[in-house]
Amino acid sequence: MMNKKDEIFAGIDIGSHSLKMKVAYVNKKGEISTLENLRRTIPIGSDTFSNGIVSFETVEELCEILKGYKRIMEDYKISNYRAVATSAVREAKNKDYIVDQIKLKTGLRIEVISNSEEKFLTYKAIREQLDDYRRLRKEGTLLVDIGAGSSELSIYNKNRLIFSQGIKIGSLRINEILSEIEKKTLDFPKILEEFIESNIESLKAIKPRVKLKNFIAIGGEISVINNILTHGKNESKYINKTDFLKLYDNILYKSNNTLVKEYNVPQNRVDILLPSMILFKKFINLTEAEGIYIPLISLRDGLISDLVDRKFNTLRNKEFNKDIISSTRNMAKKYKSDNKHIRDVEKKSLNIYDKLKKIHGLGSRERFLMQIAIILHDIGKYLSFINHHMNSYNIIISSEIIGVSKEEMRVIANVAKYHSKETPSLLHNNYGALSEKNRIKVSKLAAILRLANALDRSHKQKIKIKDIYINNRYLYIDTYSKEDYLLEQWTFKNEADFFKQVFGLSPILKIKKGDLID
Amino acid sequence: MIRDFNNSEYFINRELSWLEFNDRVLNESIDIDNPLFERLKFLAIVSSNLDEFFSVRVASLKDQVNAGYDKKDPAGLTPKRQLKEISKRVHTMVNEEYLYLNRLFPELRKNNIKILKINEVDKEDILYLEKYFQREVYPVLTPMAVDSSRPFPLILNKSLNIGLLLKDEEEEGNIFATVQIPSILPRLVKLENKDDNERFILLEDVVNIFIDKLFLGKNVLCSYPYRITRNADLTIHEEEAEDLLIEIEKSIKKRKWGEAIRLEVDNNMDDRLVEVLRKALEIHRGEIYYIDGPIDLTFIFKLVSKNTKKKLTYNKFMAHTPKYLTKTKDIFKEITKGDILLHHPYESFKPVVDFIKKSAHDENVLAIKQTLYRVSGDSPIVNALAKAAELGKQVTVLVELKARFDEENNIIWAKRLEKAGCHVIYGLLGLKTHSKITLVVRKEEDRIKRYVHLSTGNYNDITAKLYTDIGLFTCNEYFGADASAVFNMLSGYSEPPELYRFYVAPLNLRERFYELIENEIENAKKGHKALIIAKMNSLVDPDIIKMLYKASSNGVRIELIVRGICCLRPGIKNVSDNITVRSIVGRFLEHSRIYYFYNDGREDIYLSSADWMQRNLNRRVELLFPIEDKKVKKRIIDIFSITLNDTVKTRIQKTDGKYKRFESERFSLNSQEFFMNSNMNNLNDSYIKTSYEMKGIFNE
Repeated sequence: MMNKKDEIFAGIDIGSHSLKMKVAYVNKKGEISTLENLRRTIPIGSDTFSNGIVSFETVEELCEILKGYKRIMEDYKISNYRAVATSAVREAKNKDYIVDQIKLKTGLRIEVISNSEEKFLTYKAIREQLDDYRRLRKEGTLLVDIGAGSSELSIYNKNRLIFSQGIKIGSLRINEILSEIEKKTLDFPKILEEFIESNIESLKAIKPRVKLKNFIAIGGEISVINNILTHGKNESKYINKTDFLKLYDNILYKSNNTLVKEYNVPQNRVDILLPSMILFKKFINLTEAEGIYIPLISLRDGLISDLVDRKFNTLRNKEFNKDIISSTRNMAKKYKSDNKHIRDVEKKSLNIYDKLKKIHGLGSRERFLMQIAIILHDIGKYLSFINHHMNSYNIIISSEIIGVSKEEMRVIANVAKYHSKETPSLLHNNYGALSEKNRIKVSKLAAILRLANALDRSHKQKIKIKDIYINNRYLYIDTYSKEDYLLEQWTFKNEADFFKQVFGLSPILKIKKGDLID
Repeated sequence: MIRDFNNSEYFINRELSWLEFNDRVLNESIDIDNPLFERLKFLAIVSSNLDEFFSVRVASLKDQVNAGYDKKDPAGLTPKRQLKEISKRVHTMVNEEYLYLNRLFPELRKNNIKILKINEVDKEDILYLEKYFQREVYPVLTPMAVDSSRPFPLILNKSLNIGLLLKDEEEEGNIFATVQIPSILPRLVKLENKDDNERFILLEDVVNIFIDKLFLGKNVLCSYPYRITRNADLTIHEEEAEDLLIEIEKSIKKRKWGEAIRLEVDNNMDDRLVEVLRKALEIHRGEIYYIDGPIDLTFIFKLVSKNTKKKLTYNKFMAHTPKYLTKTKDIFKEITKGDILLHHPYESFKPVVDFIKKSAHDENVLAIKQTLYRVSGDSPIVNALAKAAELGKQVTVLVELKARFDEENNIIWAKRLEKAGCHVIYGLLGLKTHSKITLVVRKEEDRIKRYVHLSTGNYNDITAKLYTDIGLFTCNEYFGADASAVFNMLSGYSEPPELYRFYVAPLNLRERFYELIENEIENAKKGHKALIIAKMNSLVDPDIIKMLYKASSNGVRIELIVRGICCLRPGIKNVSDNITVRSIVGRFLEHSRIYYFYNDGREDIYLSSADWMQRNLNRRVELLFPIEDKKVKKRIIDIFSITLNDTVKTRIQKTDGKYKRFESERFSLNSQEFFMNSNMNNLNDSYIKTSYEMKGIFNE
């Protein structure tokens, strides 16, 4: 982490309504300071959401502005950047064309990212915004991210993300559902409260029983609320619960008109202010927090933080990976997977992976994806033991893991699918649809997983690895075992073929009876 | 009680106010404290100012009349009425102008410079001139006669001509003929020196002497010089007459291009000749100006520049460069120590050029961005920017092509910058970029630092010697961030972001002024001291003026220093009796825009590229920025207190829109001279003494 050079990074966010760029300087200590913040409105989303494609003209305009961004990057001699596109491009039928045009006309590489990646990246910026972020992670914290249509809850405790759940209520959605009722009652706020209460009730049952000392709010109208409380200064990043509740009581029965006039609430925000405040009130009441932390973060802040993490391999990066693993384990637990088996296969696979580093030529991210695949490989058994590998695939492919891209999820699902019976084949739709690069990745990762899985076929962790080495086209795995290992030996032999096909090495299992003596 | 100040009696017509400004320039020519050549130059300035005024402002008013547009201006005058008032005022002015000129010619003779009249040339001169005429002049002359077969010729806009009457030998009556005085030949023809006298004769007089040679065999009855001004110049129309153009676009488009709007004729011109011209040009009698002397005085610029008689011009003056800037090798370090203010032309413009040069060569500089509005011919700024690009810096230049006069010139150097590798952008559609800002991005030990230069005047090394402006160097982080944001906005890469310190027209600059004025009003209402001091080139915007009336009527004291047009009428009871308007016209053209608000003792000071005119506040990209450095703030307050105590060049605007001298018996202070002679960075005792004696506005 030390002795790194300082550097300037750029993060570009191609969003639904606008194109944004942030340029930031990062000093040797990894501290970030903003140099440029650009934003141009461009209606990419309205193209996609109404016509299914982004029009030629919009793409042209997009490229023009991006050329300018490129120029600013040249001003600062920036080589390290991330440019991402979210739902507007993701959901456009001409997505590939857009990405290609941008590459051709501006030279910029655009990544199209999933919703969960977007969130993951955005959260990365929290540390820059909150001074006592470290403490918050340790102490037990509820993070609530309120969107227009849905919200995301995350719980941190003892430095880990222990719970993450999306719920289908957001400020705009509530308002739309209930707008009909509004005209029929004089006590609309009460109905709002009841409606939200009923939606949150179920959460209380599934959320982990840990003490939540802190509350972080993102999105919703939290910046509007903060604006009102600080009289437009918006400098503070913390709101006292009592101040919040006082304001809540104050505005509960005020008309929209009054809110605009007296509190300077923007006209377009005023309708969703009350639902937002009720949501925040309900959520803060799930905690013992005395106030609300409000990191004012954006995707492009997160992009910069991510670039910093990659460069400096910061503690935070490790934490985020840990967060992904721990939320994946929670998922496996939810599907009643055999944790001991998973841990055993994980350990063996990673061991083999590391020994084969020169042979497979893959990096730490792939290692990480394999680890996730291993944790999830058996979750299909929750549905049925018949064709459980296919079930695992289906569950994974329809899940979201924070910080993992859709493409990566497909790799993970494929690796999980090929953990037992079938071997990868271009005839399989799931496999054939992958890029060549990813197909190779899946084969390599699956081959390793299968070998390691064979060694715990009985789910009894009978075999311990002593050494792994390569010699003359053979991969030797030296093990020992106190128990009967016939089943494992037999399975291993069956898997050896596929492994040889993939790596060109024949795996040889050597088993010594008894305990390891040295 | 809410009052609106929409009373036309509260406003002065902008054209008439401009004419009063030109009158103040004219009055500099009779100030015996000014050296002779400078006095003559002021006359030439008056003359060329009027030329522009006619071809831009008067032409546009004529358009309005032709289009049948008769909406009144804030002062309640229809276009027709304005033209009438203008004609009246200009006639008086021109008469005075030539009265003064004819007083100065004898002075010139006392200094051994003679501009000979036709009847003063001797035989030797005639011989010399005849040769000159035959060899140089005759070949380029095109005499044209008008008769039944030949229609009235097209007389070139603003060209000098000789009109004459020939006796018609065949029929009863006379023939009109005209000949253009060629503009490619020097207007002043030099004759041999005699008795230590430098002697000249005007080209039109030379032509007149030999006029018979042009019409051989004809009898020339009389011949006199004349000149016409036409409504023709499209490009100029766009710049100075935007407000009028917008108005006229709303009504019918019926412009009469090329129509004559002014006829200047020699005082002695034969009435028959005048009638011929009047009819042929379809010009009103009120648009004819009888000139008692040479028409078009711009030849004086040449006369003065050719001559080197020191005592006849201003004492040479060397701009001062602050010591710490001449000594230092590292301008960046100096800026880091604190904001640097440069008061041009008293302080040199060179540090600004050096700043760009230094940035070009500094290995840590990453990028340079600058706005260029009007630059000089072989601009050292342009050279430095080109050099920087050649040395591999990222250089972005916002070039405003719509700047008046030198459009073509602008395109040439814009191309040059592009060739050198600069990224040249041409500003936002429909908005002229008038702001003057430079940004240098530099990579320093463990940080990126932005250096910003802002100014009230253009990046023009020539005008920086003649115009009073204030420039500021700073590395204030908020200024840096705002500067970046402004450039991103100008390039079209970003919408206007929230700015930390700057206010930008047409987005929020006007509103900021409202807030600042409103704040003084609030303070005045509370019984606190409330004071606004504002210095600018022109005050025209009716809404700002109404705000000032509101402030005045609420007890805010307002000191305005407006060099040119001022449509505000001071001294109206219960409307503007707390407002004083001064104008300074002197050796240098007052050009800085400084805005001061007392703000309960906080004393907020802003500098800007904008005047209080609609075109600045609505149709230009302009910047307003605060002065935060305490030392710089103190200096600007000092500059203000000197300026406000000027008793020599200051004229006070009266309620009727006329101006009078400052009445002061106690002391005499010429602020421009004071600034020339004192080093404001290093104020000495005499200054402090002076300021002590002055009953300053700040000390009350």
